[in-house]
Formats: sequence, C-alpha cells, structure tokens
Amino acid sequence: MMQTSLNFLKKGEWGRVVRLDCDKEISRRLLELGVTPNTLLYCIRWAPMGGAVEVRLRGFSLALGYNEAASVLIEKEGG
Amino acid sequence: MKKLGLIGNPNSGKSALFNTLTGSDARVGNWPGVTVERKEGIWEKGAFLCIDLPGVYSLSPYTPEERATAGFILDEKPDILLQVIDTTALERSLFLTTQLLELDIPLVIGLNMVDVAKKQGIFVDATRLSEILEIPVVEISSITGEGSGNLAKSLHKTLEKGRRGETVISQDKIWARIQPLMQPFFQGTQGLFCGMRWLEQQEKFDWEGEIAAARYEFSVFCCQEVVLQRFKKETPTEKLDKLFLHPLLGIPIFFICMALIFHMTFSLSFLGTGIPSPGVFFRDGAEYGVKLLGDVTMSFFPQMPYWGRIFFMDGIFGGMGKAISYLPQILCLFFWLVFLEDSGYMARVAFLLDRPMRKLGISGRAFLPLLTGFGCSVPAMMSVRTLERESSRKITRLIIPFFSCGAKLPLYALLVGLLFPENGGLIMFCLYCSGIFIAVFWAIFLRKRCFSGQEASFIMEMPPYHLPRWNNIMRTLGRRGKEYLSKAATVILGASVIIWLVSHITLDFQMTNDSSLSILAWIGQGLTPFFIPLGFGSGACGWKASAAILTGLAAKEAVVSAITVLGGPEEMFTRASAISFMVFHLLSIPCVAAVSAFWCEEKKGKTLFFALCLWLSTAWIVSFLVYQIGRLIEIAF
Repeated sequence: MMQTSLNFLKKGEWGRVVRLDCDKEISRRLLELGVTPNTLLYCIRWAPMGGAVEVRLRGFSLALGYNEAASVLIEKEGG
Repeated sequence: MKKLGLIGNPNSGKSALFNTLTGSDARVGNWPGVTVERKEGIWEKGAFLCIDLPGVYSLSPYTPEERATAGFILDEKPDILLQVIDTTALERSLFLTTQLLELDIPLVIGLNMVDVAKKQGIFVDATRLSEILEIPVVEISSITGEGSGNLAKSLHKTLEKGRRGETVISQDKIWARIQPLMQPFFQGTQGLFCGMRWLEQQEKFDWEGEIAAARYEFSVFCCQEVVLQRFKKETPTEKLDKLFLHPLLGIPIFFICMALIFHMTFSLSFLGTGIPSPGVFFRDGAEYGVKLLGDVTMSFFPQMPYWGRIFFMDGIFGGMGKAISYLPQILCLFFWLVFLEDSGYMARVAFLLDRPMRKLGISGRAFLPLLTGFGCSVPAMMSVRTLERESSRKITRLIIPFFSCGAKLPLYALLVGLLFPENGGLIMFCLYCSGIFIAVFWAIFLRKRCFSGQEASFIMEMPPYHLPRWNNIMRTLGRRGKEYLSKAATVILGASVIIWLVSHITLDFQMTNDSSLSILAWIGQGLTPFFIPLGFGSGACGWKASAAILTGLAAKEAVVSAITVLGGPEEMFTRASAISFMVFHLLSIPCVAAVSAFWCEEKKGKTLFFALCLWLSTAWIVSFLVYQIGRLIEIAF
C-alpha cells in the first residue's frame, strides 16, 4: 500500500495514520487529540482553495491546516 | 468545604455545568477554548467549592491552559475532580480520563450531552463504563441540571473512599519498560502522575508517542465495550455543513451574514423600506428615554441655581447619558455575534478562513479572539492564550485594537448619523473593514520582518452545531450590559464631570460659559499642532476635538461624552475631518483597560513600548492620508 500524507487524501477517502512528521509542539497536540499511529481517518472536506481539511476520527471532527495535514503520514485504505 | 475541580476537553460543557450548578454567569460558547481563566462558585449549599478550569485534551504541560490546569491540580490539591465528558466524543475524552486516573485524587465522570448522542444513534452504557474504570459515572445535563442530585451523591460517596492513582496502561507491553524508570517518583506525592509526566517530557526517546498510543488503545477498548451505535444517519451538522462549508458558497455566505448583521444594527433604512433598522430604533428610543429622564429630573428641582442646572443637563445627562443611550445598539450587534458563536458557526468560519489568515502569519484559530475584539479588546487579549504559537499570539495581540471595539461605536454612530444620514450603514461597514485592512497589513509586515520562520498552526476540533440557547445569549448580553453601565457610572461619569468642569473653569478659576477660555481649551490648544494635519485640529473648535480624543484614553465612550459636553459635533467637523477623526479614534492607542490587559499578557516593557508606538503612528498616518484624500474630494465636488 502506498504511503502518502494527509494532504493527498481526497474528500470521501479513508486513510490510516502511519506516523507524524512534525515538531514536538504540533505532534503533542495531534497525539492528544487521538491522531496516533493506526488510527483510521475519513476525509470529510477541504476548505475552499485547498486551505484546511476536515477529517473524522474517533467519533468527532477535526480541522487541520494544510501544513499540519502534510505532517500526518498515512496509508490510503480502499473502500 | 470541599474543593471540586471541573475538568474536561474544550467545549465539553464544563462552564455550562458550572453555571447551572452555581448559578453564575461564566462565559460559555460553542467554540473550543472559551474558558481561559478559572472561575469559582459555591454548590450544594456550601458543600463544594466548584472550580471551573480551562478545557484541556491532556495534562501535559505545554500550552498555557494545560499548564494552568495541571498546575491547579498539583499545587492546590483539589479534594475531588469531576471530568465532564461530551458523550458524542467519548473515545477522545477517555484519553484525558486515563491521565486523571493516575492521580491520587478521587475522580467522578459526568456524561454530558447524552441526549445529543442518542439523537445520533449513540448509546453509552454508563454502568459498564463505571465497572471498567472502577469509578462512578453519572449522566448529567449541563443545561437543565438534570442528574445533579445523583452527581452530588456520587461525589460525597467517592470523597469518603479516597483514591490511590492507578494507570490503565499497566496491561500494555510498554509498562514493563517504563515502570523501572519511574521508581524514584513513586515515593513522592502524586508519584505515578509525576513519573508519567517526566517520561513524556524526555527528549531522547519518544515515550510520549508510545504512551499516547497505549492510552488511546485503552480508550478504544472501552468504547467497544460500552458504546452501542444503533444507526448511522446524516446528522444535522453534516447537512448544515454541506451548505455553510460549500466550496463556492461558503465564504460568500459568511460575508453576506456579516453585512446583514451590520445592516440590521446601523442602517437608517432597514432593507430599503425607510424604517430604521432594529439597532437604530432601539438607540433612538434610549436617547429619547435619557432625555426624558433628564427633563423629568430637572422639573423636580425648579429652584436649582443656574450653574447646577447646566452641570446636570450638559455634564451628566449630556455626557454620561449620551454614552448610555448607545448601549441598546451595541447589544444588538453582540446579539448576532453571540448567536453565531453559540451555534458553532464561528468554528466553521475559522476553518474557511484558515488559508487566508495563515498568509498573515496567524491561524484560523485566531479568528475568535479577533472577533471578540469587536466586543472588547480586554477579553480578546486574554483569549489569545489558546493559540499554539508564541509568534501568532504576539501578532494577534498587536492587531486586536484595530478591530473596532464596542466602546468605539458610539462615536461613529454620532458622527455618521449627523454627517452621513443617507448611507450610515455603508460608512460604518467601511470603517470596520478599514480597521481589518490595517490589521492585515500589520500582520503581514510583522510576520515578514519580526517573526519569520515559525509557521502558524491550525488544529481545531469542529464542534457540532446546536440551536443557540436563549438563556445563554441573554446572560452574555446581560453581562456586557452590566459592564457597560458600570463603566458609564464610574469612568465615563467621572470623565464627563471632569470634562465639564475643566471646560467651564478658566485658568484663573472663574466659572465661564465661554469654553474657549477654559482650562480644557488651554490643554487642547497645546495638542492641536499634532492634529492639524489630520483636519480636526484646526479652526476655532480644533482644541475641542483634540481634547475629546485625549479622553478616549480613559474610555472610548468618553469621547462622545466629551464632544457632547463641549457643544456637539456640528461645529467641530466637516465631512472629511469627521472621517479622519473616526479613523484616528479607531486605530490609536486603546483604552487604559486594554493596554493593561496587553501588559499583563506580554509582561515586557519593550513590547509594550513598541505596541504603543505602532498604534499611535498607524492612527496618525492613516488619518492623515484619509483627511488629505477626503479634502481633495470635498474640493472637487
């Protein structure tokens, strides 16, 4: 399966978190919000002009900026 | 009295529960990070001292709110903790629970928003959850207060038992590796908790990631056991978001909403019908009321001497009364802003605007603090704390005063109503926009010049929409109104009286009717050279405008009082100089309260000095340009 990052996930696609690639400040926030390895993410939508992305995980919606999304490495899941 | 700490994720309803239990009026809203300072209140007839803490996702000591919350637990040693959980986000909330369970403090869980979860087809087995966690789990409603009786009973029972911290990851393979490392901590107070925190801070090895994963594994296990998802249907939030976050319509809808709000508050002709908009209608009513009150009061004292009569009519009813009569209009504006915030729409706006705002070096999260700035700069400066980066926080604080606060509004309303009666709403909208424009300019400049390198970040939970609660809106408006009135009765009254006195006493302490001979004229005269290039410092009345702008440092509302006491704006301004005056008023140094809030947050003399220079010079330069251009237009037509 191909490894990519969250900012390549299109609306309606699923991805599984592989690891986080960012500084501590940001990774802490992401970890405590539940973006831990193996978490399944569903891409709900992108903000207009490809700004922020809204993903669903662990029963809630999380909005991430473009750079933060780029630092979440994922594997796309089929279906 | 037992200390009860209310803890939980941002936007889980802690403050709403706190208000319901203690009957207080803490600010609540549908936006993660509304509470930035802890609040205290009494519950159960003095059995508990409730402490409402800022919302956190974890207890790691990194952001200011987390530090405050963890610091509270370690230093003030609450007797018991109540974790408020948003039932619809159980899995995420249990992460914090796994940390709280490591404390040597009794813990009770309050499941909030059970009704919302049920509507989404989610059922949570509270009994089973309580068995797994081995602590009481109570269903509560933070809005109606349902279940608070049960809650009190569980709290009392749990208090008797006490607690020794235990960790849920003791079953995980990671435990065998980390337990020996934490041995030295186990002797001390809160040993387990402190040990874990120490581990998570180690840079050499990424314990933090592994521990977080283990905690979430436990949380997933709990949810599998206790959550019963009946059906999956499209929630109202998803339906609404299809419209409000539409790729093409999303941003236009936001601007239309904002334009409508301004129209409803400031337009003299509502929707083109010729009838005043609600905001203007209420203001006119209040103005009439204040005038009537003045006349009636005076009629009780027919014997009052001449100077006393003038003092009451011009100084008090004219000065303070004028400021008070704008209160309804300000509340009209806030009504809609609070309405949108409480519904959860503002979080969507942050999402929509993240990209443009990031270009300015601040993230979409800065949107609410900036919007709060339209209300009052003081809470806005404080709520900046919830932003992730230091550079974002500093830039945001520097530009907050350019977001015209509610206290600056009376002056615009006064001048626009008088000099631009046909298109008041438009001018007002342009004023607010120009403030935003200047803020944008400075944000870009500061990011390029002073804080390059660090990117702003945007990580934010998107709360589900809910119907704004009438009580909540009214409480917020009531609090604002109370603040405004108490300011009117103290600072503005004081300023009005002083202005009246110094404008009616001459330099050799004689009463005079000719204010151009007064002490104030002398002070204002000294300031005029500074303001002549801006248009409102010249002429026979130049000193009046100069003196009026000075009073704005005490409170921005006082400028209106000063103008009224000094004889009204008719003789002071031309159209061009009025706009220049308003622009200066909008951009210059904010009131003392806002400056001291800035100081409390930044705590650096150099930064404060820089900020004051930035605000003052911006105001002067922009007003100068506005006046010069305006004058050319005036001459041309």
